[in-house]
Amino acid sequence: MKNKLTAAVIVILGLLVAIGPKTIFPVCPAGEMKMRCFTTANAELAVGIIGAVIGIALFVIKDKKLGIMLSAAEAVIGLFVVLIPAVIIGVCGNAMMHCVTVTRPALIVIGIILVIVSLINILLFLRDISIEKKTR
Amino acid sequence: MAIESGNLVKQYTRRNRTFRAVDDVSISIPEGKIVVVSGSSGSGKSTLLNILSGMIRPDEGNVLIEGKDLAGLSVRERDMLRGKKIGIVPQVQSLIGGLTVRENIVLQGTFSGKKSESSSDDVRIYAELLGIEELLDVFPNSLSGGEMKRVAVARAITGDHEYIFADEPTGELDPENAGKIMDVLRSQADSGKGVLLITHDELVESRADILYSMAGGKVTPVMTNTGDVGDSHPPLPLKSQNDLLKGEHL
Amino acid sequence: MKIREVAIKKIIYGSTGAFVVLAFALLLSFTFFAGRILESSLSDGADKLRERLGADMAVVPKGSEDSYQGIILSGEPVECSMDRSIENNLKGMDGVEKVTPVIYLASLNASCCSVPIQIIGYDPETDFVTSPWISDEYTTGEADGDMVVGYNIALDVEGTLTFFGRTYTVKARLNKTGTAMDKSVYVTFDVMDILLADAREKGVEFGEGSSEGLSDRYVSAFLIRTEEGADPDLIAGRILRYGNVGVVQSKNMISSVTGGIGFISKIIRIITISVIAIVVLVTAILSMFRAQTRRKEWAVLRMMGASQSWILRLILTENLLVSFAGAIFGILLAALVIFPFSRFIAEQIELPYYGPGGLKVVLIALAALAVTLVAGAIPAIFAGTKAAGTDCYVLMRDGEN
Repeated sequence: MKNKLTAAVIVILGLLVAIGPKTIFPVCPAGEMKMRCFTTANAELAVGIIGAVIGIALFVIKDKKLGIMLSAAEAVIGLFVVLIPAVIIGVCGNAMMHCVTVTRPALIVIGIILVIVSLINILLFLRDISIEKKTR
Repeated sequence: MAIESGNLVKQYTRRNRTFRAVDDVSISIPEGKIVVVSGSSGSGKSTLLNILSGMIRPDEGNVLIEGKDLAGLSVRERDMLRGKKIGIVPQVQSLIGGLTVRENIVLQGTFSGKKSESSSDDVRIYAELLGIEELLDVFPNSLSGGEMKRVAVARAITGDHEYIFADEPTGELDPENAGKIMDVLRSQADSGKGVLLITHDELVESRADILYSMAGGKVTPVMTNTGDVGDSHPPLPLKSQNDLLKGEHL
Repeated sequence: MKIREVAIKKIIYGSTGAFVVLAFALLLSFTFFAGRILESSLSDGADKLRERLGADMAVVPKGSEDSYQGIILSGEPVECSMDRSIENNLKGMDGVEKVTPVIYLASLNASCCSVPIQIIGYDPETDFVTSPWISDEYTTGEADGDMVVGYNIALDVEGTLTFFGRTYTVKARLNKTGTAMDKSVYVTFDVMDILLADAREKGVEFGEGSSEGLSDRYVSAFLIRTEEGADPDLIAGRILRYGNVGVVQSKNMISSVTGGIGFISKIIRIITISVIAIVVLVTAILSMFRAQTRRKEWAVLRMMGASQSWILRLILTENLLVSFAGAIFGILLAALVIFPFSRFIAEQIELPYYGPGGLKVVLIALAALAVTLVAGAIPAIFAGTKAAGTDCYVLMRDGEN
């Protein structure tokens, strides 16, 4: 039951990552120059969708070992969510741009939460496996 | 050394009527003997066990555990004394969830002051004797009633107490396992422990060194054949045991 | 087995309601930590603001009083102009110690990314407001350059800035102030003249007449320091009689800021106390309930020889372990939210915001931890006492007693 809860949270976070940079906490509008933040938004769209799909899988599967592997993959996704705006692609240089004050922090926060929830998910699966071993 | 009691009375009020669950009972549990109190449900046997182990205070009378009068002890001292001296197998299921069978058994050692190094060997030995060695790393909620009872017995024994009290030790057990338990209890008594069993099972009655019958709160001694192999004492007439406690009488 | 071992096993494998206690502990530590960080940042920001306002009052064109406050607080770029001619009158007034003119210009576009930036021109001969900050607060510097930039201003690749089509070198960067100063650029009047000339060509209105020596004739405001003991209201009144001007007093600006901060602090405090009360209440109810439903467990433990204090300590350990975990998660989560978003929060509330340094953060975190642990311990003590007092009758089958 707890695993379903975390899986649902992961799906929501994945969707947030995917559409957030385009809607809720948007990057700078595409002007004459294609700014880095625009590329970041596209990258996060892809990453977020993958994350959400893994989340749906986690909701549905029953095998615990598979769950651990999927959760580990999700943690890696979360890492990418953080690294894309922070290091890999980045956002605009001007510290007052929306993509710097809102979008990047939002993605970093969501990414870290995603990593944390994925790790918690792994712990829950490990606990379930341990209980199974101790049940006749 | 023994657990002795004199003139125990415990009464309850139910629906405005007072009745005595234990009515002027004086019995003792000597070391090295199996004492059985037999009777049907509602006869007050469990209440008697609880009083003798210090879990309930009697309204009248006193209990002495190896000379120590329970009445003079604080709650904390009584708890600790019971933890050290008496291993108890209650009638109802009493294993702690979230802990494996092994952990349940070892937990008793915490209160009886048992060192943990010797613990794991003893756990294995008694588990094998009772046929539960395969269940040691399992959670209690997947055990049958009979298995849980055997674990409770193992727990009480592994604690290395001087006395073992059991309420319906053979409850929910098939004859084979019931026999195993009685064998284990027999060998415990032979090694010097005082064993008190509450039951209405004839098998248990038949293995008693000293047998009482209880009904309506009153206890009547019954003469038992204690000529088992290894028993070197002739049976003492129980009346004189009680008289010794009463002191001024006779 | 040690109490801690038993507690941990019960938490992981048993049904202790630990999850709910953890969630509430998380809520409490989150609220407390975030609230305290916010409060601290606001009050530190106000202190920085007080430091920043070197002037006691500003004389601005009539109608521009609110915009002027915006320069300091929200950083909305301001542009206004007025005749410089009253400068001498101001200098000669009773109670006026110093007067210095400033020019405010809003850029259309600063190099990259479209956000207008405030350009502030100061007169190096008479200035007493900006220079102290520039001379004390250098962080990086070249000997020569046209501009001093606020902390948050991003430069071009070559370390320059471009305004109205012309490129300027950057002399130094100010330390962080937590106010709109961080988003501004500072130039001397001669550089400002060049900027104004370019700006007017692009259609910006500033003053009248030719662009040659514009700053001699027109400025945006005068910053005034009053003499010790002089009555600022009196002076302000006299200035207003010149007509066509407005006066903004620093003491009023500060008090409106502290008023705003006080209001928010009060709200934060009310929220925090409410959350504490709710968490303690819910944890208490839950703990008491669980103590009741686990009563067979307590009876078994007493039967095995556990003292009442042992059982109390077990429940306390269970609660404290879970509260500790919840507290840590709550603090981490709050830090995750507050620190990356601090700039955004500052803009939204339009109050000066200066985040706390490492040591203060650690102290606040420890305080959040302590509060959460105590909030978990109190219900645990009550529940534990109740549990420890369980009668052994629970162990007897119904009908026997």
